[in-house]
Amino acid sequence: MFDEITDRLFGFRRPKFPLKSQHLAIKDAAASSSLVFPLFSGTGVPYEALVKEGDQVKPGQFLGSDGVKKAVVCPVKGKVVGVISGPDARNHYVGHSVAVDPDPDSSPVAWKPMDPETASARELWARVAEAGILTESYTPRPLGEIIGPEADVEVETLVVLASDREPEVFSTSEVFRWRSEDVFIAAKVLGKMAGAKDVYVAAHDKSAGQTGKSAGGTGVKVLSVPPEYPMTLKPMVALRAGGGKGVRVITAGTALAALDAIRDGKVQDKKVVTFIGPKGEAKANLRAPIGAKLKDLFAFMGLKPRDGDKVLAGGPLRGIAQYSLEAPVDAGLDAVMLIPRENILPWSDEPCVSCGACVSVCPVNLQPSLLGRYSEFSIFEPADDLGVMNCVECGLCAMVCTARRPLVQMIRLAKREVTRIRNEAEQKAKDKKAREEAEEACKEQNEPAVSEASAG
Amino acid sequence: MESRETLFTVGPGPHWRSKTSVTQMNYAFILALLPAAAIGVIAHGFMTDEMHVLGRATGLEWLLGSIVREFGISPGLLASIGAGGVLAMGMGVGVAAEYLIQVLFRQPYHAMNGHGALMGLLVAMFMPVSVPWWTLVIGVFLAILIGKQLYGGIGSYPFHPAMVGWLILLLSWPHHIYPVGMKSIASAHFAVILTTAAGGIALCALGHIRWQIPAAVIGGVILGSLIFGSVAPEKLGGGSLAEIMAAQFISGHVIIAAFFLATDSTSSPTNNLPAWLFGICMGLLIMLIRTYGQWPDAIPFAVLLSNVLNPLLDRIRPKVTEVVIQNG
Repeated sequence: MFDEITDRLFGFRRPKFPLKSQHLAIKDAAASSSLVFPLFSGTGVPYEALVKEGDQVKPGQFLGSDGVKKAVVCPVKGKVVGVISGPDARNHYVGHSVAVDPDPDSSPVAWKPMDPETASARELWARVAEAGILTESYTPRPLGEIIGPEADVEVETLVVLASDREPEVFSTSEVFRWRSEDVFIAAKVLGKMAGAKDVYVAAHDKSAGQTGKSAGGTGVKVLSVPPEYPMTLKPMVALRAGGGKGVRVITAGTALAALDAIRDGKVQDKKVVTFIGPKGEAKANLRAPIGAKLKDLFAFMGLKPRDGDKVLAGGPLRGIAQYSLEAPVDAGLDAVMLIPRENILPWSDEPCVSCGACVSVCPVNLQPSLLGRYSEFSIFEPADDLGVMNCVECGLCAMVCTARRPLVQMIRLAKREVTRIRNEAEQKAKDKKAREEAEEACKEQNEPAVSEASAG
Repeated sequence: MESRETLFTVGPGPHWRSKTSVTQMNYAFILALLPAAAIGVIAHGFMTDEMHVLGRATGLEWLLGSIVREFGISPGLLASIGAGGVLAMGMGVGVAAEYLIQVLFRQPYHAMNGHGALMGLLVAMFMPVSVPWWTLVIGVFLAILIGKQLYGGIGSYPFHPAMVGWLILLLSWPHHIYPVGMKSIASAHFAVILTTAAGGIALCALGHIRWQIPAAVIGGVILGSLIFGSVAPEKLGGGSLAEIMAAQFISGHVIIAAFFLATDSTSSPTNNLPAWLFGICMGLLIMLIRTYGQWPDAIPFAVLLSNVLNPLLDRIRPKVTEVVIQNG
């Protein structure tokens, strides 16, 4: 009540961006041509190909390597038809993709099933690493690097997010509706693997009945998230689960893929993506093979994009615009969207008019108007002072901008530059310390010589 | 046969966007102000006793007198035409000045985005119907040149351009801006003030302006009339506190300042607590200057002084929520 009153008094034009919950049946979509596996990490680091044209590949085989670690799991049995240059769904373009012709009798079972109850955390982790499970994200990373015994941070709280992150995307909630009991089992298993004290399944209040029924006996708690747009993004969910470095959020799709790999020995060969049609509404949930090209999905939906249309890998607010339909479906993808050219508003480089709309919508209380200006004129230190690194890139500021400025792009630039400046400063401090230590050591060595010389 | 690949539009997200624009915002302001302007024009038709002032100020008393006599035009109609002319001229000069300055400064043309017209209309609203045409032209031109373009245009100016223009005229030719016994178009009649308030409330409802700012200005004026009405009631025309308070709103420019001057996006704060402080500060300044100032109107001084405070006030920012961004 008090919050409501203060919000009414001190907030203005805050658009309510509710997330609808909608039942959208899952349809199986098939690939019409060969499957493509781009040799990129989620952040765009290219990998070396471990296979060559004509090789036979089997499910669970790694196709690429960065020299140290193997990456990119092949989900099918088949024959490599070529190592081609091709795009991935995140617009990384310097590198190669492996094209595989799948055998019709290919089965996703690659390993022996394990009993998650008796297996130790390290065994579970070894299977997850072996299966090359990738997180569902715009920058997918191997799940084994995020949680588990060799994760980069100690995980205290693990949250499995069972609600969709963007409006008109229903893939995660539909998967949760379909396999809600498995999601709780997966949360429990992954909690054990991560060594987390608290394990949550985060879902909307509306699906509480469903969650209450399925949670029984697993010891997994339910975290209620409001069905409003930026509140279901990973950083905001982490904040609800207590915040801090020890909170990890993974989606239900990732958790289920890990459970399948552990319990059934299956490699992740399918991904549910929501297809959002030209009218801006979800048309279908497609269960597409990983590696199927986007053009296969469009062919399945009977749509042909025209010149000037926008094709997004991802939802309407954070999706990545594609320049080619050759990009394949991967484990990080949750939606594919088509925006007709008539509905595209161009961005503008007009100056900010300080209307304050962006300030009022920011979920983490940033000043996007100021950050945009700083970034525009390459002044990054004040942007750091204003907390630019806390931006969750939800895109609401740019969405409501009166002057139509590409604020998210500007803030991303500022974040990248601030990271670079911080790293440089750290490196400089390290160098300075090393130099001082060397000088100190030098002095100690020289001192007897000096005293000898003076004595002499 | 596929001749070539389809060429898609690419660009950064978000891909769903609101369709508002600066142009739309400016035209919304103009549209919200036009009913008040129309009522102002009509109201002048009933104020025939001001005809002699009209003639004397423009130096054309004999000509106007003979037009009225020879053609049988009623003096009221002539005054209405005059008021409409002043408003139309303000808007036209605003657009022309924008265009001229953008040509001279080799800037991209934004003259039709409505901002020049809005500034011209606002300056004209504060003029009496008897204002000489050259005074209005100078005022609007300097508003656009000194108030807006020299600072870098929309988004950069620290002071409300229309107030800069008005203040230059007020300090240079006070007898043209405040001729004895005449009111400006914006304060010609109580009906104009009511229509202005209606237009402002519509703007709030449409979300083009923050309702906090007009609310704070009106609150500040009420607070100020309580304070200064108790300290020095004789300087505010006397009467009870309630009478003094009501007098501040039913005459003069408080309402148009609260809804159309204080809420100007560039020269008002972006955060909400600063917006309240800004408005209250402006309201108190209006009352302070009305009580102790030597000028007939306090609005331009109060608006410009509050605009000075705006960058300082906007340093009051909400605390940033500390978020850990998970990689992957």
